[in-house]
Amino acid sequence: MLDVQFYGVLQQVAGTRSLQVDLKDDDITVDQVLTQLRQDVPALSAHLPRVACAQGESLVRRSDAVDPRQPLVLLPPVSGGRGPGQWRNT
Amino acid sequence: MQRITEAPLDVNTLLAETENDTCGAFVVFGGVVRNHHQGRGVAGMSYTAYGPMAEKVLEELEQETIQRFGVAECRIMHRIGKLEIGEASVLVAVRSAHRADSFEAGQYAIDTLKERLPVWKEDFYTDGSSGYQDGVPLETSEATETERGGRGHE
Repeated sequence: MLDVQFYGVLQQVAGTRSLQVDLKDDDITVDQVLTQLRQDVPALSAHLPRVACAQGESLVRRSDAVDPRQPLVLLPPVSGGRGPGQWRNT
Repeated sequence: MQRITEAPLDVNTLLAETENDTCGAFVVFGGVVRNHHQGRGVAGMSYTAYGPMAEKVLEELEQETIQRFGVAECRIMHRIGKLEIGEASVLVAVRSAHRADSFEAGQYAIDTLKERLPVWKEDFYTDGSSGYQDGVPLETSEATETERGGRGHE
């Protein structure tokens, strides 16, 4: 089982801070986990294209293999404020 | 030193930690909780962070800012938890020999933070409702990688 953790608005959408995903095998990619999540929690589907994933201190890409020993963390768009070039509007 | 904290942020502490006699200038940026957002009254905010990555992002951004602009000091702190109107959510302190470098470095640091730091803001509105602010997808999101691929390598 892989522990999947949610942050920000994803906690509201999923209705939980974390859930367990049953891995078919240990050699699985981030993208495959997200595909399974779409089936388990359909409400997440609309958010996933703008979601980044991390394990430990680092971001992981969709094609990366998941380390089943540590949680896969789903990070929605970060909302520190407006980005460069827009700062005069904040 | 802890860069993500639930404790109130203090400008004087940040300045003391970055004292440097080679510097003739310092610039401090402070982000403060304001009482409105997109035309709605805001009563307060809650900040959450993915701690393990957030600490690393800020540490790397401090070093990147120092190297890119040649400034002597850069320190960033971000608060999490429930904040009242007027409380500081983020402080960036930069010191350099001359003021131009501090201004440029400080703006780079706060702008880049807003693109990279895994922090989320939930507004609590004066009408009793609440909601997360939308933001910037991080670099490994499908949306960002698709956009990057569409632009080619720049």
